[in-house]
Amino acid sequence: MNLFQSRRIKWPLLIITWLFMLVLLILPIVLVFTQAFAAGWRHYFSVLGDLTTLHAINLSVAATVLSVGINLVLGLSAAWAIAFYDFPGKKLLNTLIDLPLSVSPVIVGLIFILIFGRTGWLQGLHWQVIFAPPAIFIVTIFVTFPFVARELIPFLIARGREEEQTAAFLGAHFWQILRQITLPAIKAPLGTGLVLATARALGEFGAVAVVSGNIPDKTLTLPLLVQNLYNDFKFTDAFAVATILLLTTFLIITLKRILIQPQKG
Amino acid sequence: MYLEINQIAKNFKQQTVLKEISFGVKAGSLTALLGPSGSGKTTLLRILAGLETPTTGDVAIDGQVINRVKPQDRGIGFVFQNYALFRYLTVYDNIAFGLRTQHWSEDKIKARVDQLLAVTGLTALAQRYPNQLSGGQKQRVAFVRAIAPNPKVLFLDEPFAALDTQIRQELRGWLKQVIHQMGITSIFVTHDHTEAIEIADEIVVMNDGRVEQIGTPADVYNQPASQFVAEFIGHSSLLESPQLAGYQLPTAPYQVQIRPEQVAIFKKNEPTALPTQTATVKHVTFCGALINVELDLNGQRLFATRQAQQAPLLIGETVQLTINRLVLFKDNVGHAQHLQPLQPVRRSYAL
Repeated sequence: MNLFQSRRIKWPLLIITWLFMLVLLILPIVLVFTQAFAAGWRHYFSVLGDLTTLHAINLSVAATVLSVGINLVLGLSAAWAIAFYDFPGKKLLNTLIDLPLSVSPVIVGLIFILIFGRTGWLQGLHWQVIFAPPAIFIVTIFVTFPFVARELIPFLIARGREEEQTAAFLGAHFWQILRQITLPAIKAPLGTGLVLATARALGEFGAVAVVSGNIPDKTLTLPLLVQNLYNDFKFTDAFAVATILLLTTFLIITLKRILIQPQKG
Repeated sequence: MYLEINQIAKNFKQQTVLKEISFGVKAGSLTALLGPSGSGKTTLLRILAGLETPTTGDVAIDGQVINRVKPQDRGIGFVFQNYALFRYLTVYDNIAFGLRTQHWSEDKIKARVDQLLAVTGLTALAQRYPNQLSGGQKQRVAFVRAIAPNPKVLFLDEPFAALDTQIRQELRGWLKQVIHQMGITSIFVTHDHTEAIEIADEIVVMNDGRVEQIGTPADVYNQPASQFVAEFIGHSSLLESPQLAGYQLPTAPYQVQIRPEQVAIFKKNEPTALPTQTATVKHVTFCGALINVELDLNGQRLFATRQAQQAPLLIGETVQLTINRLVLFKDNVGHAQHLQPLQPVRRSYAL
């Protein structure tokens, strides 16, 4: 009997998977869009064009671009160091990289309040950090940091460092090796890490909520704005703003698929 | 010597991997580092290439000590066991890589790569990617890529280990020929003594972090310097203090190594003029051209070979045998001895 030709297994598995997708993914997405357009196109676009919304988009995009950019550099450095070098404390570093994923985002926010807040260690700083964009940027970088490194480390370790060593023997220097040998090879996991980091940065709620102070037109990111609108019983507006987040996510995933096609090799 | 290895030692934490190794390699020669796994041969190769730092000692190429020189600037080629081809570059670009880093003009690069591709029979594969090549082709590309920038020394780590038997056989001859044709000083690591004997000009036999013997394949095969070399290289029998007619043997204890091809078996009716021993046939194995025979010589196991067309041997049969040549070990120092009446003495055995 061939296990993989048995329809009695194949169809039930497919039905389970699709049911799951339908109930938990497709239905909510459809609902978001129907609610968003419940008061008509005009209302939808007036919500999107609202100054508060535009400001939230601006802040969310800034936090995302900044954290993903820093993530790219830090993640790549950490992955390269851990995968290619031996040094004392390597295991510890490897474990610490996972920490932001396992700590509750609310705790992350509180930690930074304790550091930068009025009674914190660094309260004497000249510029406002807490309840201002800098704190939002810091917590977003913190919670997204593991994504790129986590994707890259196992990939680089499994791949080995012999291509890099060979390139070095052939006279290539660090930047040539990175650009010509390593980056083309790690495109796929790097892309996945960046997509995950972007999605998390855009959608981060808990940590940002704690440090933002919830000041409209100043420290509201998109998820916080959705929450505020919802709390004010402006359901249609809340869903309209939510569609921005949804569409951005679709866009990023599509972009990744187009830019990073699985290569031969 | 072109490549000088001077008192190289390596410790990993508490463990001593290499114990003050010194030897030299002649320009243009092909040297094998041969030893069982754990003998330190790969560590030595990696130290020579600059992938590891020796605890003490130094390495010199052409009179220049290269310990502190980065791998990039040593001017060496290295072929990894799994080839490490750049998988996002074509065969052509793989080979051109080391020329581009040296800022050769594209015209010169094309001329050099095309010439190498032609010499090695890879021209048709120039635009392929590594995953479109067979194991043997990958091996050739890795080798050509390493020699393209004219390295001073070429290192190969177990170059044939990942190939199947037939291609391995074919590539051995090919590699030896190309290396000699181009005159590249090369060192390769292997655990396979037939491979070392077949292609190397010189073999460095390593065991437990030490060099056991350095010599030509014929030397190492025929004149093993220690019991380890005798046992590790080629098939042979080791006997403990045997009494053998026709040899001047010291007082016990001593050991004697005998190659199967040095034992001639005579059935009762087959005449021999030489001093003989009496032994019993224990096993007979048919192996095509030759028959492998296991004999019982006064309670010790002795292996011999016999031509397939000679009269068949029966298990349990009593036979006479002459041993043409043996290596005697006294206090682990080896001396080759020949059967006394044999003349003239053959200096070396044709491989």
